[in-house]
Amino acid sequence: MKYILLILTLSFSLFANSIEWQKDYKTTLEKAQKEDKMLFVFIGSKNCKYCEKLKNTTLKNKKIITNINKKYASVFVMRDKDDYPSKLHTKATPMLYFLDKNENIIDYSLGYWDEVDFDFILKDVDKRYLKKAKK
Amino acid sequence: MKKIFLVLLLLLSSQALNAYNSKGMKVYKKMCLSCHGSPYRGAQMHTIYEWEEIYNASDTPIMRVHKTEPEALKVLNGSYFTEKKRLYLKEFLFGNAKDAGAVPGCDGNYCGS
Repeated sequence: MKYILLILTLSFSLFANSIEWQKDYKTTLEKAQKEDKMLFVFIGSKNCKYCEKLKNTTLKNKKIITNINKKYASVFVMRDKDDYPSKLHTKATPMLYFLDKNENIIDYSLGYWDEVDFDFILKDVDKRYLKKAKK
Repeated sequence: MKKIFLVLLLLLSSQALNAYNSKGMKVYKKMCLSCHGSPYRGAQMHTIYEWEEIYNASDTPIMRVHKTEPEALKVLNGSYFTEKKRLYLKEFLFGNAKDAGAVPGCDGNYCGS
């Protein structure tokens, strides 16, 4: 029974149709620590055209969704409104932060990127994460 | 008066060219695009400090960071990548680094898309 549940959970997360956004930063951190994942923090703002574009195009790509859901606990926060660590500062949006489960910043990226570039960003985050883990 | 105007014009145009650096972008597109994504994305792989670290570590920095990638080395050792083009690429990478202030949301190859 345990295994069936595990397989069902895994397959659900692997074939999900959208990024599993958590309700807030705190929940995301808890999930990351519990499931040994990294954190993906998307900082947006009101009337941010490129935040919407990023959410509705790049982040709807199945390959990207699978990759993010597999490795990250994700959260979308509004700049100057929602609670999140002050070290994740930004003047412009969309701002993406990638953190390890201990809240250390692995990488960040500013602006809109298409699927191809976003895939490169995720690969770079993996490289940086492995490099930090080796140190 | 004419000479002063000409010098001023030259200075201004050279500064504008340096900011956009289409030559460096052209080199990037030809050499790096297939493995590192669009030009601005490629430049934003690193911060200015990180690019400095890479460039200060060797006389042939781009070769050094690709030393375990034979396919990349083949391209980098080709006749196209002359000393001049290395410089154009360097200027482009530094000028558009992660913390250089360029916002790809509406800049260069993305603006208006």
